[in-house]
Amino acid sequence: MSVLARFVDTITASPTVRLNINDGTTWRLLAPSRMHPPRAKRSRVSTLLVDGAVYPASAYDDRVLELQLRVRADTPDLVAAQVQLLARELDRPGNLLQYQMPGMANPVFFRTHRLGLDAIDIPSGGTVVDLAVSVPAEPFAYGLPQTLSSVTVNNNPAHATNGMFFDISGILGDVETPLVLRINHADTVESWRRQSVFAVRRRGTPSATPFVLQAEGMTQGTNTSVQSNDATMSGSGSNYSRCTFGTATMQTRLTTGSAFHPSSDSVDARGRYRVYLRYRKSVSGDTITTKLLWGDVNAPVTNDTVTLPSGTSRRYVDLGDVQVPVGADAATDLTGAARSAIGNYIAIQAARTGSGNLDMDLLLFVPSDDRLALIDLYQFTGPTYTWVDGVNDTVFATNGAGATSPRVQSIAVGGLPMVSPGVTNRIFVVGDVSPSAASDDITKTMTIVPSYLPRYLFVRPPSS
Amino acid sequence: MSLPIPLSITLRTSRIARRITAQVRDLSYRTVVPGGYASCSIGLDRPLTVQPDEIGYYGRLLIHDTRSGRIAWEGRVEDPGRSAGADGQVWDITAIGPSAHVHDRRVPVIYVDRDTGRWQHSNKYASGSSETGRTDLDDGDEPGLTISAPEGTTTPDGWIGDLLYQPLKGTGQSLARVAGTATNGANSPTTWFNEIVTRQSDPSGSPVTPVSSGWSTSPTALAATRGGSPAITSGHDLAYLRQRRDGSSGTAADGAWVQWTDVVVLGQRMDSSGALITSGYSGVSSVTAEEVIEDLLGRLLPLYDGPGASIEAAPFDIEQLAYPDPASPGDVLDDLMLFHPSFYWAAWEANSSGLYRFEWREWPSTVRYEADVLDGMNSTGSADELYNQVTVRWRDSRGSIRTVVRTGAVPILDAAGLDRDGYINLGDDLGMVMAQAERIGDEFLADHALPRNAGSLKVARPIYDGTTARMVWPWEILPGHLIRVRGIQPRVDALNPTGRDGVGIFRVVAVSFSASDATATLELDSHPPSVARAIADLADRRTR
Repeated sequence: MSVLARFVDTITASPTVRLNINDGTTWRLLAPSRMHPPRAKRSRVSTLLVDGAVYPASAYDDRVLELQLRVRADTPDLVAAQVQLLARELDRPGNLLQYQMPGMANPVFFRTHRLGLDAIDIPSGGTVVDLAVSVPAEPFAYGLPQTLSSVTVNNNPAHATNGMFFDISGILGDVETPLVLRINHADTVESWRRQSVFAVRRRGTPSATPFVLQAEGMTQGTNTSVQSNDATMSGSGSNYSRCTFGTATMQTRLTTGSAFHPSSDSVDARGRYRVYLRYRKSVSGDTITTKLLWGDVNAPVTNDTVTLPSGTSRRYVDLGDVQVPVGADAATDLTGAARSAIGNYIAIQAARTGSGNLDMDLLLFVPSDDRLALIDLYQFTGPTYTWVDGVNDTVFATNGAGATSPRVQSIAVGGLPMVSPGVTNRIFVVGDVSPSAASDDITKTMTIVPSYLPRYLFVRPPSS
Repeated sequence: MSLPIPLSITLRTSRIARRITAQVRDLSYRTVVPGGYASCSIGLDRPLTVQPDEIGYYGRLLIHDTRSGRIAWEGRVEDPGRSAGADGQVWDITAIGPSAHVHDRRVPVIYVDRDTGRWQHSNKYASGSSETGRTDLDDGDEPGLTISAPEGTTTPDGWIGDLLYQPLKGTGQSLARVAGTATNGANSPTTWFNEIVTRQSDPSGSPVTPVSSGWSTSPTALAATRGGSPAITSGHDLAYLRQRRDGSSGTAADGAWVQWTDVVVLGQRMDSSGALITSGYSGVSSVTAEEVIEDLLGRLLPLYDGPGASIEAAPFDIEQLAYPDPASPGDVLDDLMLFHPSFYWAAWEANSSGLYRFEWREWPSTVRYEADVLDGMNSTGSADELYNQVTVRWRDSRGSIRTVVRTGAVPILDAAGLDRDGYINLGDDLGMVMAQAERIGDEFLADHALPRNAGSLKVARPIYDGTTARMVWPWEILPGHLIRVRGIQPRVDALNPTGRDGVGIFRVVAVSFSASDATATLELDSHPPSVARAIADLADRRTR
C-alpha cells in the first residue's frame, strides 16, 4: 500500500478526488517529500535582570509540506496536461490535501494555501518531469468531522441532567479544536433577543466546578428570608430568598456566613468566574441596586454596584468577576503539584428606592478563565438551526438542509467554545442573560448537536 | 503563558458584524488617562476594489478577552486607510476610542459668570439720560457696575437705567440665578429701587421683575433664582440690573446711583440624563466640578451613559467658569483638571444601549498593580517638572490683568537652594476670582512637588492586581491607577503609600499593548518626552 496523497473537495470519508498525486501510474510522491509539523511562534522577552526568558504568548505557525513529485506520461503533451492540473490545484485560494500513510487506518486533511511551483526538472525526452512544491498549509492536519450525540441542556442548574451544561469527552486529536454547535432554532426563539452565555471548563474535574450557589442555602441577611416553593425558581422545597427592604439602604442581604463557596477547598475551585444573580423584582419601577462582595470576610473585594433593570421578570444580572483563590496565588508547590484553593466568602448587598421586594433565586459562577462567549441569538421564527461555529468564528442560521438563512445577524463576543483531547470538557450554557428578557424560564431546554474537526500535529493514530 | 493571546477582534457596521481575529496582520491599542480607550490599529487584507461590509467610517472595532467575554478595547473606525504594495492589498485601520467624543462639538456655555464686562448698557427700556459703567469701590479690590442718573437731570416717574446680561442667549441656556450686592448713593426706600429683571429673548417676552428693593446706602444682597424665591421665570435668558424711580418727577441729586458688586450669573444646568435642573440654585454662587460634568454629560455628550456615569465629588466651589466663546467638553474637562489635577476623566466600554461608560474620579491613593522591572524599564526622572513657585495670571471681573504668586515646599529644590517658577495663564474662562487663581496655583504646585518618572515600564508577564485580587495579563492592565515597582530603591514609605512618590510608586497614565510581542508598555507619571508628544501638546494648547 502506498501513501495516499490527493487533492480533494471536502473533508469526508469519500471525497471527490480532483488530483491524485500518488496514483502510482502518472503521479508519484517521491521519498524526499516531507510533511513538516508546524513550528510554534513565540514572543520572547529577556533581560539581564533575571536568568532565562519569559514567553508571554505562542501560537503555531503555518506548516510547509515539501512535496517531491514525479509525473510520467507517454508524451510531453500529456505530461504538460498533468502539470497543468497540479498548477490549477496549487493556484486555488485554498485547497484540501488528503494524506494517509501506508498501514494507517485513517487519513488526515491539510488545508493548503495558494502558491506556485518551486522547481521543475525536465530530463531530456519530456515524458518524465520531477517537480518540487513547498505547500504552505494551516498548522494542523484535520481528521474526519466528528458529530456527537444530541444533548438536551436544561435551563435549570438544579436539574438532574445537564443542568445548564453538557459534557464532551473522548475528543480526538492532538490539540484543542473549536466546537461547532447546532442548536434547534425553535429553542432560541423568543419575543425578545436572547443573549446566551457559552463557557468552557476543561481542566481537572469539571464536574467539581463551583457553578451554582442557591440563595436559600446562604445565610439570610437584613430583611431577607427563605420563601416556600415557587415552581418558577430553581431547586426543590423552599427554593428562593426574598428581601423586603425594611431597611432600604445598602445592606447585606445574603452571605455564605462563616463558610465559603465552594465549601470545600480543591484544585478545581481555582479559577475566575463571572457571577450572575437570578432575581425577580416585585415592583417594576423600583430602583434596586446590588453589589457582590467576595474574598476574605474581613476585607472583601467589592465589585461595582449594579442597578437592576425595570420590570418584574425573572432575569440574570451580571455582578462581575470573582477569583478563587482571592489574591496572589501560588498555584503549585515546589514539586509542581497543584495546590488546593479555598473558596471565597460571598455576600450580596442591595438597596431599594421604591416599595417592592427583591427575590433572589441563585448565583451562577460561570468559568471565565478559558473560553466564554456572549451571543445575541436571532429571535424570530424561520430558520431550523442556529449554529455557533467556532471553526468559522461566526454564528449563523440555516434551514433543515443546511442552507444559510437570511436573518438579522447574531453577534458573538468573547471566545467561542473549544474542546481539548484527553480531558472532560464541560460546556456551560446560560440561556438568557439579556437585561430585557421577558422572563427566564427554568423549564426551557436547548437541544444541541456538537461537532468538531480533530486537529493533528502530524497524522492520526487509530484511536485518537 | 505560551498560548495564543486570548483576544478576539470584531468589526461591526450597520451591514455586518464580523469576527476577524484570524485575519488581522497585527493589533496594537492604547488606553490613556485622561481619556480612556484612545486608539487602536489593525491591518487587514482585503481587496481595494470593493468596500468590505465590515469596514466603514465610524464602524465599531471591538476587542474582547476570549476567556471572560469582557471588553479589552473598543472604539470607532476613523481612518480606514488603504495601501497596495509588496504586502498586497491591505487596509490599515485605525480606530479612535470614545475619548474622542469630548471634542466632537464646540458650543458656548455659561456655568458661573462674574465678568462685569459682559454687562452692557441697554436702551430697550431705559431712559435716555441714564448712564452705566464699570467702577471700583476700593481701587481694584471691589469691582462693580454702576447705574446712575446724572446729577441735575430730571427723573420722571418710571425713570429706568438698565444693564443687560445676554451671553446666555448664545448658549441656549436659561438663567438659574442672578445675584449681586447693591449699594446706593442715598437712602430712598420708597422712590428709588434696585431691581433684577428678567425676560425671554426668543420669542421676545415681556420683562418680569422678581426683585425690587428700595435704595439704601448700606450694601444689600439681592438675588433671583430659578426654582427659588424670588423666582426667575422658566425660560428667561436675559437679565437686567435696573435702577428705577417710582413716584413724582424729581431732579437727580449727587447720590442718584447704584453700584452693584459681587455680581454673579448662573446658567441653568442639566443633570446627567439631560433633564433641566430647575431648583437648588438658591444661595449658590458657584459650581462644583461634578455639577459641571453632569451638565456636560446631559447636554453635550450624548454618546456617554450619563445616568450611569461614575462621578466622584471634587469639593471646591468654582466661582468663575464661563465659555461665551465656543468650547468643547474636552476643553471644559481640561479646565476642571486644573482645579483638580488629582482627578481624571475616562470613557470606556459601551453598555447594552451603546452608550459608553464615563467616569470622573480621583487618582487613588492605594496601589493597584504590583510589578517588577524584569521585563524592562526606563525613566528620565527629570527634575524639569519640579516647581516651588508658580505665577498665575488671571483677569478680574473688571477686566484688569492680575497675577498671584503661590509657593510650596519642594524638598529637592529647597535642598539645592533653587527656586523654579512655573506660569499659568487662566485667561478669561477661569479667572475673575483671587481664590480661584490661588487654588489652581496651589494644586499645580502639589502636582509638581515630586519628580515625575516620565518613563515607561514593560510588562510581559502576569502581575498582581489588588483591585480584582488576581493576576492579570499585560493586555488587561488599565491606566488611572497606581503601580508599585520592585527592583527600584526600596523604601518603607512604599509599603504605606498615599500616592505616587516619584521613586517606586507611580501613576500609570497610559498603557500601550501590542500583539506582536504580547507586551504592554506602561507610561508612568507622565508621558515620556518625545518630539511627537511635544508637537501634540503644542497643538492642544488653547489660546486664552
